[in-house]
Amino acid sequence: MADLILPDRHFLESWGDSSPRAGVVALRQPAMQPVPHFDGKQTGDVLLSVASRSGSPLGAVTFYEYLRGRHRAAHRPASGDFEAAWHRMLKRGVSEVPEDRDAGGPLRAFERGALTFDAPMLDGDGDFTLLVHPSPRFGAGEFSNSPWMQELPDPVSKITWHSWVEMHPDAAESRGIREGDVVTVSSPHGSVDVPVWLYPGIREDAVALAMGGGHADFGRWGSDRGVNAMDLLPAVVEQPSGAFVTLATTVSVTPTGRRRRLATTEGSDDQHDRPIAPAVALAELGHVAREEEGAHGELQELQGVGGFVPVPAEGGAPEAFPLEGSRHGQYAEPEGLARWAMAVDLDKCTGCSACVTACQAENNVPWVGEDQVMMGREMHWVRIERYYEHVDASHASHLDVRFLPMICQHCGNAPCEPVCPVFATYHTPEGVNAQIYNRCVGTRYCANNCPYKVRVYNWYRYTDENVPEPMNWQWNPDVTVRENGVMEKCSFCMQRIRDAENRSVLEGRGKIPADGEIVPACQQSCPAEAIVFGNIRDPNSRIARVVDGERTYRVLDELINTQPAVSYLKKVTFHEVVSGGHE
Amino acid sequence: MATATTTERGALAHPDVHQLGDVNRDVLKILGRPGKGWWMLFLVAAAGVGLFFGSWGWQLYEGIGVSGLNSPVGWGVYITTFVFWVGIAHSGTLISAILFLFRAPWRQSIYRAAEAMTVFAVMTAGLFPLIHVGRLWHAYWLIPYPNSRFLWPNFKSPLVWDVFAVTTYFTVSAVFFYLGTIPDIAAARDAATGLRKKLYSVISLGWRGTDRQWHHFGKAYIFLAALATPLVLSVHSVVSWDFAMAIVPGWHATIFAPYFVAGAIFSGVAMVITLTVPLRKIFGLEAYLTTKHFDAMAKLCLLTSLIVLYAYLSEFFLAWYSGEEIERTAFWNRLFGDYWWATWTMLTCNGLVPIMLWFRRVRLSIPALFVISIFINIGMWFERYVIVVTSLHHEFEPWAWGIYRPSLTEMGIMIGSFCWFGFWFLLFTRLLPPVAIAELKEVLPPPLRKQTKEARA
Repeated sequence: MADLILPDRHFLESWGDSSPRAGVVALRQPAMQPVPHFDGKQTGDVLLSVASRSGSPLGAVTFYEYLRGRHRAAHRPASGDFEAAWHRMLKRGVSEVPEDRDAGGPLRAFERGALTFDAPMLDGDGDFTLLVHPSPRFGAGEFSNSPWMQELPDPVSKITWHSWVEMHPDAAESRGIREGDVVTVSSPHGSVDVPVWLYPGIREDAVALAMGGGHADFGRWGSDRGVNAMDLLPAVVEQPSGAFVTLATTVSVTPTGRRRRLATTEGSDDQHDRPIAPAVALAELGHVAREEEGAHGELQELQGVGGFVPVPAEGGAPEAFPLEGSRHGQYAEPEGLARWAMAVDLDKCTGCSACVTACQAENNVPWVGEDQVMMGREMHWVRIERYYEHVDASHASHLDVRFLPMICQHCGNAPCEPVCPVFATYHTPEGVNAQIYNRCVGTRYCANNCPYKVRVYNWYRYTDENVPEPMNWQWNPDVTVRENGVMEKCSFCMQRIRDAENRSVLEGRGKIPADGEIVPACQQSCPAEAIVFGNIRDPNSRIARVVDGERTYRVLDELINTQPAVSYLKKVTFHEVVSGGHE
Repeated sequence: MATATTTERGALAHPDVHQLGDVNRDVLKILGRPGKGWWMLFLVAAAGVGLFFGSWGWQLYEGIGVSGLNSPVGWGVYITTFVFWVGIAHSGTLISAILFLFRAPWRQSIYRAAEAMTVFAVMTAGLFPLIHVGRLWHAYWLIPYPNSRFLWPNFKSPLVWDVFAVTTYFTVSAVFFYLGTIPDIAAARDAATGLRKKLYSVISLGWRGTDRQWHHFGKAYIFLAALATPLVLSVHSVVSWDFAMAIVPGWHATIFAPYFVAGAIFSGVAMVITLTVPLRKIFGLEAYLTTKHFDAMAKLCLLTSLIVLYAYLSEFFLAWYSGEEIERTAFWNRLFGDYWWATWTMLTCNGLVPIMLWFRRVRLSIPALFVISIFINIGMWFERYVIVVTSLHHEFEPWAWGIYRPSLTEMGIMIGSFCWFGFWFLLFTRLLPPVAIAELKEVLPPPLRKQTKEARA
């Protein structure tokens, strides 16, 4: 336990350097005055003064001097004068240095066979083996005091703000337990009361509990939320790694008779055979017939009587869309402009939800709290839908879990646009469905008419009440902070598009930035690189090439002709697709 | 006290109405000192108005989040109640304008109350779009007005059509109501004293009842009736397009305009029955509001009930017949989903209960009609609830399905709106003759006219 807690300075207030990748050194200098509330000192300065007071000075009084000294020491005379090089580096922010890749090497030679592991020893005689696992959101608990992490739906359970114990539906049914029942999970070492969440993907003889809950004293957002899985575990350390053993006990599960509503963002886990998250079997890949023109004969018949010209729902680069005849006067598409589009490869998406929080940070999306999530008012602009499909109809637990990151589809034929009484939502000439916050009256008609339900509404002054001073300093200055009564949704990170466009114009490269220059926050944070963004009118752009494939489809487009700018690439499965294939 | 006895179907007997002046006496008596019952009702209504504005104020202070609305259900009790009141407003104009043009004599004794109901119902309905928006202080942006930013409303949006429809309807029905009342205000002026006399003198616009005035009055009345008639059809059609123009399964249907108009008349006539039964009892108007009138209104209810029931059944049938899975799921969900109770309430109150109106004995029984009319009012509120909520909560994207639970604030505003309406209606019964004196005289049976002549002679 700490005796002293000191406030550190934010990266915008402090000096520092980093090496984002091999061969690049980045230098960081303060970009703002320190926030006055904390009267903080940056860690480096604290360490330097501690070292100085304790009689072993490190040769510098401030961290700035220390940093400069280190760079001076690393400076090579071949690069010229240090002062000039230092100023050059400050100006550019980065400096490229030749890296000696082989300098490191393994810390210790690994001897094959030197490690032996014991089989897990399980305490107690409970019915279930307890699986305790780090949370994808909280790690082992170190990120629990972040409202962003608390509000982020768990990638699989989709529960926010509280703990749950994962149980197989059959195991629960045989004990008369329903989802949402609060049960006592007890091991020989302790017990916790926690609500049940049913998951067909877990073994029937195991229950699972994530780490990260039940903090007793961890700040405003982390304390007294959920339960601490460690309460159930013995203090056993594994040798030789020295790690804490998490597979160490059995537990019994007894209902308490109480129930609670799970703060989940899940509506239905079944896509009801709708063309939302289809998949394709690996064996079929390469044999999928491209959708031929005329496959939508029924819709094309309507053309003669003033109906739509549908975009081919499957495959085909939609660089030409909205197609001739499918415009409804919503917008003209002048030549020489980009049409922004996105593609998401569902085979790469692991559902990790990094994009959700990246978007939240970039776009000043507020968190709303547990009660509001239970009311269905979460405000994330990206929502990762998680559907179950059964691999084999005879085995309910043989699961194919489909993830679908759902954002505003920026429809070419957007249902939200004509219904807004005040033009608060409209189409830009670049094909983006824009939302003008300060024009919005808040009738919510657009959200009602959005088939993807990606529009979120400020029911309260979340941005004021949930984000007290000084947390409001975290707002992105490039993005408006919205007031209550206003609709909002994904903007394709319009501020980044504008920034790149302006830079391109200033540098004389024309209005459309280079391919790959615009990176929305979700794409930037996606570890699997499942998201591609760009100008789909440019046939050489990465987005145009990615979309031009047999796995491409657009959600619900074949049913309601919304002509989305977001394309998805079907998940590829090893097994035969028995349901939810849609083809 | 005048009492009516029904000798045979539809025939009136007025044992205590001996001459035309007795009509003035019986109607203007209502404007006298209010009784205990009126004060009780008025206090309840006034308290309800407090609840209404208190709840609304609370919502303005805290944010629209105090409602139970969420994603995906962005419209709930507020829009339900809005459509309910717009619907109620319809039968007033139907009775006063359309039945006037068709020369249906039974309208005379109820049309004043029905018209007042229309005006107050539109006044109530018109508040709900303001209540349900997130930023009330910007709601005027829906009105096209010249401004320095050259910004106009989006004329493609049905909500903008709504603004025009509701304001037009309010203007026309208020003018029509006022115009028709002028001769009666003059009658009240002649009988009143003091402050009331001054007030009536001003608002009766110098009415003397000369032939020339009657001639102009008749012309103006028939023009306004002709002007108001298309509004009966258009206003609720426009309201229905708020839904039909959207792509939501359960909303997007071409049947909506006639379906809503029939439903509006259905609910409106039921509300006229609900209001006139106590009016008749409290103010002793049995001689003028007879079972003949109620029989006619019951028949109108029965007809519109059949149209509405047909619309329900055709919606379910077409959802099945379309073969469109999402549409089918929406209607299956309507019957057997989370909101099954609302749908079955609607079907019972609007489809089953009015079947009793086929029986003449029921139509001639005023207590039975009163109870049935209450059922219809409830059923028609639930019809709108079913359309708004069950359609929204199960839409295209299964992951986004959700449940909406109305909050206490919403219920407060909804219940308060009935009190707001009742508040104005009660004031109306004290301040303006609630039964049309002049027109009643026109339809009194011939012997009565003869007696009047004899009495004069």
